[in-house]
Amino acid sequence: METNNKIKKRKLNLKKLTIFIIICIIIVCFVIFFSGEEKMVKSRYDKVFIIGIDAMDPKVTNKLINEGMLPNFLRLKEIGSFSKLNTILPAESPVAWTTIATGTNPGKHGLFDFITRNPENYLLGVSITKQKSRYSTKFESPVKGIPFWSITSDAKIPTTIIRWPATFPPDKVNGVMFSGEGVPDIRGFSSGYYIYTSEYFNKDEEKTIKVSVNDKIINSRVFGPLGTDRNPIEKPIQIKVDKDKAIIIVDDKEYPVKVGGWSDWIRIDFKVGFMKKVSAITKAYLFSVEPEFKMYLGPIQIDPENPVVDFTYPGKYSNELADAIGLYNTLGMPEDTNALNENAITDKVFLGQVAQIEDERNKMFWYEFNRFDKGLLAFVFDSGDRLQHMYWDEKNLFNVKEGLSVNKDVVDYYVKKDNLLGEVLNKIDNKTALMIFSDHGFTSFERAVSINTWLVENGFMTLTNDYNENDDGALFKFVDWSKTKAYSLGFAGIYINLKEREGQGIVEEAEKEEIINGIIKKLEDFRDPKNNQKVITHAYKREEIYHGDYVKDSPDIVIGFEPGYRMSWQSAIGGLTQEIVIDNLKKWKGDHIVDPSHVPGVLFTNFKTNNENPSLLDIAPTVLEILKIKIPKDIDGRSLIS
Amino acid sequence: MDYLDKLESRTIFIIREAYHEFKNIAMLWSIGKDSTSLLWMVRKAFFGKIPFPIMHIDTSYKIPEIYSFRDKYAKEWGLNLIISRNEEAIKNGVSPDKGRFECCNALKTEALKQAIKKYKFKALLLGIRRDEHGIRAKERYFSPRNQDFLWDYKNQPPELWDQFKSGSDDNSHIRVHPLLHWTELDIWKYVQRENIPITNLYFAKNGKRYRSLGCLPCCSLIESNASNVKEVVEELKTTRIAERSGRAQDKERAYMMQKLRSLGYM
Repeated sequence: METNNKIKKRKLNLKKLTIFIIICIIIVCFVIFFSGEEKMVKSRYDKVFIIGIDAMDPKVTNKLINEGMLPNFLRLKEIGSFSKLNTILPAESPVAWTTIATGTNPGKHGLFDFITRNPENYLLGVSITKQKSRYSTKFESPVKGIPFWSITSDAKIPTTIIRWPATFPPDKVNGVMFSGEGVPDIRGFSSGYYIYTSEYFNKDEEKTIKVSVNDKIINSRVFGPLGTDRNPIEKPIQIKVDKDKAIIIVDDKEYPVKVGGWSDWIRIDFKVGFMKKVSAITKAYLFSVEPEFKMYLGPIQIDPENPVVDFTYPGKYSNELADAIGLYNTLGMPEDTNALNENAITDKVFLGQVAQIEDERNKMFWYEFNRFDKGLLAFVFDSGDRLQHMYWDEKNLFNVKEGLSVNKDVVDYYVKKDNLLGEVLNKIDNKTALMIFSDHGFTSFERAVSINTWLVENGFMTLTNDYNENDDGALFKFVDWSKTKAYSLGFAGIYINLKEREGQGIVEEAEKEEIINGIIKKLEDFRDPKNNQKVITHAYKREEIYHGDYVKDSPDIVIGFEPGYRMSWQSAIGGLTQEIVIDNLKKWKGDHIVDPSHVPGVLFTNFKTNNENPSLLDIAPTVLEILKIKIPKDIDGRSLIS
Repeated sequence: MDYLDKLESRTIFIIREAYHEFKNIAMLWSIGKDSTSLLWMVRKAFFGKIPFPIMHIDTSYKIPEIYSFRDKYAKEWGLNLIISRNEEAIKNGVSPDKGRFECCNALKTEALKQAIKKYKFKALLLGIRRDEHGIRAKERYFSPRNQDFLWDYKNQPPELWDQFKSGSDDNSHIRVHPLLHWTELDIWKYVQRENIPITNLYFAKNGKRYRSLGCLPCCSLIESNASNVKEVVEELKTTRIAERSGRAQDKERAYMMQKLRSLGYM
């Protein structure tokens, strides 16, 4: 019995031991599993695939997911993660996309706004299309930080970056790069169009070209590159009209177009000098022939088959792409929001244009996707931003409705992106880390705020005697610098008129802080006279929000508006309005340049992330970590997988 | 050294460098004040005996005085003068009323192309300046890509398209711009000092004069009472700068507004 008991006991011990060992193994496994998740993510993936969807908004995304309209985004959320993505101040595409690319705050990458100033003479500039000098036709990057694609390129990782905003001129990567927002039209501008019409007109003469039909023939001109006298170079065109169609003739080539339809790509070669030509492409839309002729000619863009300035790296990539998918829009922002805003085109025409742009963008997308087998591919879609600017339905200030109302064309856009994602999810292998994100979300733009007018009314800016209230005073036309302590330009900035920094500065370094504090206090207290609502969420001292070598170039104060408010266009370009806050009556009714807390973007990944509250800064380090590259110390963000 | 001496010695240096570098070169002479001044300095550079041809692109539409001036001084200075015409286009009746661009292209561009091909020139000396509109920052004396000629028919400085990647049909020759650093006023002062013969088209008759010369149909007269070199210098000194800067400012403003507006964020 004793021996039996002993045996039993021993068996029991053995059993206990086995269980103990099993438990131990399980615990060890768990420990290894959890502590090693980072390593597993890293070792699991050998490719990073980024789909940027400019301005994809979390409110709209959540609503459409809940309504079952975005099944593939839901699927991605379930496999991996979905969260808001905190954006940056100011929440503008060039600033935000550059912050994503560098993983650093603007103080380190040097891009603070669409609009820049030359402190010496208070002249304004466009940051994303930066000429090397005033009359130069060479451009330079506005970005001073190091984007992740430069780091992956240095590490010899195949790198493809398509249509990333604020990347003109393109960087030399170990692969290809196609610059996005910032690529100019043939004149060096961000957009532009012409209306050819036989109607009586008294509208914008700059953009309206009066034509007359003689014997069914119109002789007119198109306008190309600007000479140093700032006058465009012209080229004759002929249009033969018939009842419901027309034929546009340029360089003996015929381009037919029907009433209510688009022409094919029209190629125009401008002679810019002796034996030199600049090749451009554009498309026309024919509104009517009878009783009056009316035609829209879209932006005159750099010809990808004969680019006068490279917008891709290597330069021949633009040709390669044209060979693969046909001619395509090269302009940074080809969606002609200005033409729609100025009622030169109808919604139908604008949406038709957007559809064509999306169609060619999809072709580019699949062209790159189908040959993506190593390294990094980042592809940005941005028509959604333009659509939301023009068709944003939510209101925050007036006529506020219960729940979020989303325009049908905006919904369609999100659904189309969901369809695209569905195909992607079916096609990518399990070695591909997928990240989909936006640079910011959206909100309404109901009231426009002129900070320059506010500065005048609060005694920080003084106007000259020749001030005329019927003139918007753009480019600081009426500012008396000798009596001005602060001025505003761009969509969020205020600069102190500091002695020795500004051309006609009057503020001593010692009094600067006090003036800044005074402005911030008053701005944060400022209320909209129309509804007594707070206008500004926060006004920030630059040192509070930026750090790094280029903080010196940023505005001294950066404004974060409440939803519904945005800087007025007049004030953004150094002008004034008669009242500080005015109604925005334009078609451009959505915007995002408000306090970043109101307009986060979205982040979807096909892997679990370690942070429920990620920001734009965290993308670059995550990309580098997945690709097993050491994250530079200078990066402000943190990897989402470590 | 006097200011004009400095300008001159820089130009002569470039002329000699160009000849030394390329040997098979030619100078384009439009018979205007700039290229005639350039020719003057080319003669100085080689002590009166120019070792390469001087080429005149003859569109057949030049102002009659230009032809007589050309022939007179070609003889007097012993120039090896090449006259290039696009005979075929002239025969086919290409003319400015059928379009300035077409006309310039056929009669200037094509004629020059034909000549370059025929004589296999490796480089051409051109009398272009970059003084107006303050664009000196980007000056380049030797430009393999600069194909501009707009100065000849419009009184404006050359475009900066040479900064762009070349879209040119013919890259086989180099353009050399020895006068790049001269201003319109400098040229006139130099003409005055050196007593360079200049066609009298530049001097006022009945209150009007040519400010730049090209083809008769495409050249317009400006209001002026300056009837000799001295008076032209005086006129440029007193009126030009103030008048131009005002206009340039308005244009700059309009340009800036257009550029900013094109952003779309209105």
